[in-house]
Amino acid sequence: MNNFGVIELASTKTINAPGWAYVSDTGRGPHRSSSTTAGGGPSSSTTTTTTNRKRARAAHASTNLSSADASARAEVKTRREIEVLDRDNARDVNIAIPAKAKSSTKGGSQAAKKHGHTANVRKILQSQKTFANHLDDYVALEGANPGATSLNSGAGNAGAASSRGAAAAAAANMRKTQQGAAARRQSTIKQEQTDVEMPNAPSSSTTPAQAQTDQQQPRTTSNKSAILAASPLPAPQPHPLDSDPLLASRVPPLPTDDELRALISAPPLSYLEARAGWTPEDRRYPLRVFCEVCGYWGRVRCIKCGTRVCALECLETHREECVTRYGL
Amino acid sequence: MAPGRKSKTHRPPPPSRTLVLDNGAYAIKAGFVAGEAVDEPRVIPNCIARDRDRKTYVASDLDQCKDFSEAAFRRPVEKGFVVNWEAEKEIWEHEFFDDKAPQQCDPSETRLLLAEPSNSLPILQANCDQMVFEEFGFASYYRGIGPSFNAYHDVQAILRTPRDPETVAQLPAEIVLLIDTGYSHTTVTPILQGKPIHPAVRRLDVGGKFMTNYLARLLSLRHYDMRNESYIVNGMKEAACYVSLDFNGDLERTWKGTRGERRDTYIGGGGIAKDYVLPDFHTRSRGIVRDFDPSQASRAKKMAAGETSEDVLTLRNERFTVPELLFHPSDIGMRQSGIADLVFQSLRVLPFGLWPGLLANILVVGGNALFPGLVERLQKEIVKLVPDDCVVRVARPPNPITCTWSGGATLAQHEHINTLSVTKQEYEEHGAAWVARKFSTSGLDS
Repeated sequence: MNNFGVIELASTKTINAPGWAYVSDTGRGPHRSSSTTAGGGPSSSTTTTTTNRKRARAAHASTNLSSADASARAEVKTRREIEVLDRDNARDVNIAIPAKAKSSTKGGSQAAKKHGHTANVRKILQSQKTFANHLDDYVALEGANPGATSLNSGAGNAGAASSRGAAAAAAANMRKTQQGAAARRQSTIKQEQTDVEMPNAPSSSTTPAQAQTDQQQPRTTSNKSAILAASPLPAPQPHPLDSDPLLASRVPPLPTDDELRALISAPPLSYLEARAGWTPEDRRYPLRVFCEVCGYWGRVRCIKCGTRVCALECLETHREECVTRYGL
Repeated sequence: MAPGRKSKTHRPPPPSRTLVLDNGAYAIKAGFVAGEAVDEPRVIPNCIARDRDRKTYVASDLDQCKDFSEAAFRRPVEKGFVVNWEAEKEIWEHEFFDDKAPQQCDPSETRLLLAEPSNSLPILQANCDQMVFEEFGFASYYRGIGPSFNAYHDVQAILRTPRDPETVAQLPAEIVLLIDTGYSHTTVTPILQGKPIHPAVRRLDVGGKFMTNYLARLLSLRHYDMRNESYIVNGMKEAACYVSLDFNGDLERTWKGTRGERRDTYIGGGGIAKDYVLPDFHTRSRGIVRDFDPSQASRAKKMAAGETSEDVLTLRNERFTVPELLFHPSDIGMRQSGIADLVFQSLRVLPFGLWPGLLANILVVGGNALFPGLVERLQKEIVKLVPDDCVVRVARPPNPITCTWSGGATLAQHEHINTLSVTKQEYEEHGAAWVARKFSTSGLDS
């Protein structure tokens, strides 16, 4: 910068700026308790305390602000880092589809060869949407009509897009018939399966080991389940100590067939709902922090930027970078 | 009502050949099933790549690429779902439909069995169905949840259950808890009789891509700038990374110590440090992992010896902190639970009676399952979370990458597939919405 041609001359005169002085760190001064209560947080009690009320207030305000500032900054930083980690290429690249030689397309897909692309296909091929775009669309659609399940909205969407464009009543009708057919098929299959599985059930329910405890009573009944059949293996040899209450093992009762069927037929969750959350179990222990230079435990913080490092050596390496970023 | 029944009775015989396709974000696993004959699946890179000389490679052409430095990739699959059909069409045509395609097939005489991840967006599913029928024109088609295909394996053999050698495996397996840890994400899916229990499916947004990028970042901070070398870093991750069974201990052993007193484990490598010789793509096209050589450690010595022919990176805690993200995503500030807790979150939705069955039959598939130690660590962590009485068994199939594919191949031979799949005529008669509904409710009727 040429500073618009203005050249600053060094002056010999120095001015003491107001409000700046060396203050001795009194540590356990008389006002310490009051200043920590004023600070109210562990951060202020660990920082140097002053006897000056005004200065204590200023220090308190500034540390609080900076810590909130720092945590917000750190959060933005981690979020951005995670986004970067989720990318396919470090840079933005735009790789075009290579142009094909005429001979190779000759035996291409039948539909394209005969009569070009259909309207739907053309739309899909030209779409430059990313997954994030589609997800946003989906969330917006869900927000617009929250009653619609993922299945219905998808069906409506596709129906509108399809060249057929069947009337809603017809679609509903079709769904009903399909469900009816499904129920019918289900019942027949259930019959078949129970027929097949029945021979297994009595053999296991008559074994002494299973008949002994009340705990296992529900289990023996649910062995007739069409979905989860009993083990074909013979039951283990009975043992005289089987009835010992200390040795008895408790097996939770299997859910009934209806429950299982309800579980299997439950609709899928949406993409965002299926994402695993952050449970109290995870919050029980403090987050692990690592040295940003070498990857060992982050035991020390840089005073300037709050970056974690492990020891002096890494702190010095970090300083070099920190200085170029934030200045001395 | 009438047309639906009519089409059931006048169903044409199913196509004799089935193309089973597990369309992963990193690699397509594809192969044909015709009657009893099952092909060995091909693993095809699902990408259009461009190298430094701006030459473009489509899918399996990538084998011809000699120099992967600064290679950039365009992947049509995002988060496990086909998003960019323009690129995917190019790849499929290159692999299956062109004159010189390595796995040529005539879609009008082939059934397509396509695996998709769970919890897809309806619009993406509709797009997929429309492309399959309207653009490619497959005669018959089934789109199913990929993880559930894994139930069509002899799960008890994989888990090494002691049993009568003559027992015929029941297909599909009754009850499996499947952990699929792939390129884009890791999912936990409880499966009953080959059907996923949808409300209990949980996803962790950490996958192979994430870990590769994380390793690239660590190396860029500590050694060279590798952020544009995702292919090389990926090779490094596959060759050198492992899941630590004693994270704290391993971390301790790889620390250099305070200034002035270098730790012996650091100088000697501690059994963890490895040298990775970077490929230079002239004399060496692949990187090599070597045991750590303390005598070559300092660069000054290396320069003095005039050994500039090879670029060596010493990997220390990078080897295990990268896969550690699967167990502690919070290490980089992600607000998600690790994979073991993912299993527990999934179980908590289910009735207690299913827990013993699921916990005793846990399968891990997907490329990340190849990390050494993953299965053992998972077992260790899950045992800590669940009640003492439950037996926890975790196993990895012999080939976790093609496991979903081969399960799908078994499904293609199963008689279920004839009722599950949809023919082109049915699609043309009932439309895309009907097809979408049929696939999503297929859990009900078989």
